[in-house]
Amino acid sequence: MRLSRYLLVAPGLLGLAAYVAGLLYTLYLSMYYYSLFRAEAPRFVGLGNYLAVLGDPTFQKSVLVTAAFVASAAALEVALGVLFAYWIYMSGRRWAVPLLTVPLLIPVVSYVVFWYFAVDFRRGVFAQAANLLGLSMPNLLGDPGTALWAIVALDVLQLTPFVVLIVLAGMLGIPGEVLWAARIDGARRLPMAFKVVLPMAMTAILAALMLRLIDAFRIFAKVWLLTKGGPGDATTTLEVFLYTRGIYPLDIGTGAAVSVLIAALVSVVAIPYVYLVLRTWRA
Amino acid sequence: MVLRNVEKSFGRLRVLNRLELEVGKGEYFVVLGPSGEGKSTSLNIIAGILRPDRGEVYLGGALVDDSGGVYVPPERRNVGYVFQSYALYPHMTAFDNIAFPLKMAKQPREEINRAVLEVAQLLGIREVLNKKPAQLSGGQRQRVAVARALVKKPQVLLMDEPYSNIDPLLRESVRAEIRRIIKDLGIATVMVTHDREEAMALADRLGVLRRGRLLQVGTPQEVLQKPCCPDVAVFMGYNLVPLDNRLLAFRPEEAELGAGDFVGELIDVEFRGRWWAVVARVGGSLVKLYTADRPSTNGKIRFGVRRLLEYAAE
Repeated sequence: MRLSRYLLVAPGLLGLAAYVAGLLYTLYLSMYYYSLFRAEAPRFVGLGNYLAVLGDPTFQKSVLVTAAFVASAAALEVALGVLFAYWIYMSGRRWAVPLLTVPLLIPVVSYVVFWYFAVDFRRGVFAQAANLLGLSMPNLLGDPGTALWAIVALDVLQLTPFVVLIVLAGMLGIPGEVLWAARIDGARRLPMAFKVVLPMAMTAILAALMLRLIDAFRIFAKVWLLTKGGPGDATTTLEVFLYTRGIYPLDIGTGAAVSVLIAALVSVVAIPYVYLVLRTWRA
Repeated sequence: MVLRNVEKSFGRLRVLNRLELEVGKGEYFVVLGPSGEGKSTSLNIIAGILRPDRGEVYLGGALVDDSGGVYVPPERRNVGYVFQSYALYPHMTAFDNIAFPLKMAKQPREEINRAVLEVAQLLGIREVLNKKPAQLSGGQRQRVAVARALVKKPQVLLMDEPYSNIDPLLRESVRAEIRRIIKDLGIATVMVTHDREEAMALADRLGVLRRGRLLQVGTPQEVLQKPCCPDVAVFMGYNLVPLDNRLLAFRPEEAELGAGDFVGELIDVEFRGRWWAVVARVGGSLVKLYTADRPSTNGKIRFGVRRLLEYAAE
């Protein structure tokens, strides 16, 4: 009886143990100078790696870049996602739902290539359209002032449907009679949206926001394939920094230190948020 | 409140078939019928949630739907609706639920407070106004739903099986109390139910809905004493016994065991508190008889009836 209890939770516990072990090992490695390029035994350096990374202006910049990306992408995706979900919900256009999954099924690489051609300032579709109107297309990806926003736009394009699906699922859980009660009580348009439908779908909206916040922190593929973190360090996000400073040069110690810092930063945002969301779910 | 010749179909299924309904000022009208025979549909048409395929709807003398160009949407009909599920707003307190129609009508804050407290006082829910629906008992939720429907002083109050989710022990006192409040406010009410006892207890007049139309409309006494047709008779609890080309109908309490023209085979006896219910087979049909004393006979029983109705067989 007792044994079966442990056997039943064993797979979960094993997974958790591997996860914790990985974290601890990363923490351990982060305190060593350990490069695979040198035939040298790992050398203990204490907090040396952390001090070096924290003092690196590129790292400091990458924290700001990531924060800007996470805040703008998540905010836009959730705002647009709620808007579209509400429109589909109220107009009953359920046929739109299967279409929404298409952007999520297409590989990110295809998306990036499509976007790369679309925004190309010489021959892209936007450039051709601009030329027809006698305008010229700015080099969005080549300009440090706009490159990050071009990536945000691509992320919004691809992942807004994800938010729509989650929020729509939340809205479809609202009993139809409550909507009719609201109509009979005189609610239309804005009051219907803000006093009835959105509050009742709030748990789904908060869940979508949480998933987007956590996921947006890990932005890598789109940046790497479009700009490789450039021009300069204008689009170097935390994961791009981790890749260029830790993984590519096989500098295990620095990479481990950056990983731990990323986990710490994400926790600062995610833990209070999860706490708040769980509290609203309980009520 | 008038429905004229209303028809409604869902796909091939015709739910309402030339429904005629008139409810006078301050009248408590009950639509009685089995489940799935269009009772809720008729309420939804009155409220404007559904549009009829044909026919007209009048509220307070004004045409609100002619199944064509004229359609006044629910938010401009001034009806109160108590849904079977109550359909309260789960994220709002009881106070905000009740206040919602007045807020939508952009009434001043003091007026809203006054009206909500007044109707809450009437329904005895002042103490729970700051709780959310999930924290309320079923009976309290139902009162909040009634309060929300009444607070805007509607022309017509619509109630869809409002008492079916209430503890049977409380149901009778709750429904009597709420009927008293509605009658005092003088609001015309259309309530639908499948519960005959409830319909007879509450209705000023009731209508029996079968196959999309009201087969009979009248006071509970009229309908109970003189059902127009076998369908209504069955619904009012009559026993039907086919004989030649006729249908004989009588109520269980109008039978007398011992002697009479009917002979049947005893099937079962149930104890019902104030009487015994005898189930017997007469000819090919099962009938129910009430008797004060426990029947001693086994097998064959003989009984007569004090009042017998006759219908031509269909």
